[in-house]
Amino acid sequence: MTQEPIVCIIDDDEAIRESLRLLLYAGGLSSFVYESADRFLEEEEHPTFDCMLLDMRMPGTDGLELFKILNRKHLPYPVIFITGHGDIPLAVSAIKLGAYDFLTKPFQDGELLEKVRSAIDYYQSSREHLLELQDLQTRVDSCTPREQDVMRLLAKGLPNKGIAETLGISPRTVEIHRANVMDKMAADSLPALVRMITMLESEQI
Amino acid sequence: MTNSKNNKGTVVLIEPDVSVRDALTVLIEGESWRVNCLDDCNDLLAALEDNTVVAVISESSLPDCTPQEVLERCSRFSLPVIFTGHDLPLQGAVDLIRQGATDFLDKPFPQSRLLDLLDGL
Repeated sequence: MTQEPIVCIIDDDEAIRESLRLLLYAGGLSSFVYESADRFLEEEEHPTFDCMLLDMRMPGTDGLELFKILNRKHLPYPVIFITGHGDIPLAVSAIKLGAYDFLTKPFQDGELLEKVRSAIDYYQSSREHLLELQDLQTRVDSCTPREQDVMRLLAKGLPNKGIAETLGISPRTVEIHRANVMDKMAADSLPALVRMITMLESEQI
Repeated sequence: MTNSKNNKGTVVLIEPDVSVRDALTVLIEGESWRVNCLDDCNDLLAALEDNTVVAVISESSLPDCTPQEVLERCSRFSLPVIFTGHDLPLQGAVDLIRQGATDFLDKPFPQSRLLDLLDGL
């Protein structure tokens, strides 16, 4: 699963776009280049990026706006903003929204590569964890709403009888739901199921 | 200045520049906070012991301590810290946010931004 990392560059200034691409290339990193956030959004499918270099100020959808859109879609890769010197308020709000880092123009080559590499390392180490979470979420989604009710109560430590009373169904029905839940979640024991639920809940803040 | 007028709690203001300090005090007191002014960090811990304190506003460049020290002291009291400053490199401002500051206001800033921030705490 060790693919070559791909960096996404979005900047409306062609000279900067090109120099970023070349600098990354010289550092052994390939990249995809977009001239605006809107062009990026027009594409339905993107490669799996490992890091995004995003210009803060662009005509149309600006960098911060795109970042918010990506956040809403839960795109997990780290974003490094490219800003001018006077953009402290923008940079501060970007960091508060969860941006990984930023680069101030004019930047130094070493600084660029160092920040991009650090972002990629961070992402790759967190990706496994994320994949596991996404996989768990898929399994939860495959359960019916009723099965999810049963699962939540199981995770709270309620016995079958207590679950039956809470949901107003028969213990026998709970047993069937419970068997389905264990099966769909691929949990081989109740503690394993509880661990999965706790892990998911701790991420949903 | 009666208690009922200053009922939003106390804001600790650390600002070495006396004219800025006076201007901010008038601004903040005008919106019904009490202001405790300090010109450095010497008496910060004592000021934070006051349990009516709801927020700290601090200049980032102080003669006797680093902004990290200000943050560290305020975090013991779980108090939000807003830094102000000018000529601070962008990296410095961003680092302060990462270290837990609520916000950074680049001087000169519009008065409304500070008041909005305080109101939103």
